Amino acid sequence: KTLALEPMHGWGIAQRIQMLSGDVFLVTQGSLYPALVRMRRRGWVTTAWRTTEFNRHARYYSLTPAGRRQLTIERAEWERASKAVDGLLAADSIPEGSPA
Amino acid sequence: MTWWRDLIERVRLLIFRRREDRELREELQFHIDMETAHRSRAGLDPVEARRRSLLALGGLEQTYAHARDARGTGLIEDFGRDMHFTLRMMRRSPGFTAAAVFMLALGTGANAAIFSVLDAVILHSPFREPDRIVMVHELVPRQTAGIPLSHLERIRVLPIFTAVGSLWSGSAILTGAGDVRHETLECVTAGVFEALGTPTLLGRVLTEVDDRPGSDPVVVVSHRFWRDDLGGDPAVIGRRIGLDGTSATIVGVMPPRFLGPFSRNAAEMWAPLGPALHGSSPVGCRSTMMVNVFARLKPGLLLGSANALAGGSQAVADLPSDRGTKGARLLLVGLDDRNSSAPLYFPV
Repeated sequence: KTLALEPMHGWGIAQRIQMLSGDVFLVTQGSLYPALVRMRRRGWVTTAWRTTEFNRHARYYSLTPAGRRQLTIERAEWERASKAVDGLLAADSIPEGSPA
Repeated sequence: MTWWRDLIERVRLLIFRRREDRELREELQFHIDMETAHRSRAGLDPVEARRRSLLALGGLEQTYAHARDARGTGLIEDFGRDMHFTLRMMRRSPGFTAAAVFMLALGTGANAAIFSVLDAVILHSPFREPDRIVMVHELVPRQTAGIPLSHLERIRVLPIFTAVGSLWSGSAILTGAGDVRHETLECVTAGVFEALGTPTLLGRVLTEVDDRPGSDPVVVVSHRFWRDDLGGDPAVIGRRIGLDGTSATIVGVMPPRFLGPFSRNAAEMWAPLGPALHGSSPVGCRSTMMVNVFARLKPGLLLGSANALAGGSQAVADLPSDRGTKGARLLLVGLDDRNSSAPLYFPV
């Protein structure tokens, strides 16, 4: 999702996830890289070495058409799951705890 | 299709794994540098900023290892490393390696030897159900070359056989097929073909009718004889060849692997023994007082099951005495085991 806007390097992706999620996702940044390797293997992202604005060499990831399709699929999946969770939370007719 | 893409990508990662490793290190280093710079700008001491950056990443080496694992080429790379290690260890202890290689070679060789015997004897036997076929001997103080004709009828009526046949060697001057030459024959009664159970390639095997005295001279030929001396003629049945100047009709051709009950290469043709046993003298087979006897055991009387007791495919049957003469004891030897002894008592 982060890559849907523009190609980005690993650190940038990590930063953006942290920012966009309002620091909710305190996942270790390290888990990002294995995920990127897997996504590249499946052809969802491509990589290219480019120079950053600070004149450093960095690997940039960009979303492929296949990756975009996958994003749509996963978003639909997520919405379905999240709706289910919302539904469960809205139905707060369940008595909270019972007398011990 | 993503699976083949995935496979190609994995192979690519495997081939360029050195470059991939280097690039991954560079990428992670870049991440740490960026993160450290980011935290320093927030006012942290650079050393502390770097420490926290590494912490946030979850460790440089750990991330490196995890990202490498995600490539999905780990199995092959591990295998390569294992092979490398193995070869190094083998070089370090050549004595042990030589012993291990020798043992493996011995095992493989023994296996191959046993299998080739099994293959020849059982799996590719030219006979039908070869473990039911036995050669019948008499257990007498002085081993004789065969069984006297006078005992033949009593063996034939034993309730343990479904077919009994006798065989004696013969020879004839062959004319009318290839060069004129002296040819070895196997003179057999119809029971031998019945006991062996091999179907012909062409025509028919010898029957009871052929064994009657005065019947037309007939002969069944081997595959090799048919191929080499009869030109592999598919219409060979009914053709006549000369044996000792008498014309004999070819009534059957046996399949390639069939070489008679002894499986010797010498046998090129089979002529009826029956007439000779009754005193007449047909082609190639002279009268005899002795014969070799082959028989097929009734189902359920496999020597193989008796094997478990004696360790050899042999059995002994008592021949009932006849008009005061002492009954002989018979030794039944499986076709595949003719050379071993140690008889087993086989209740009849």
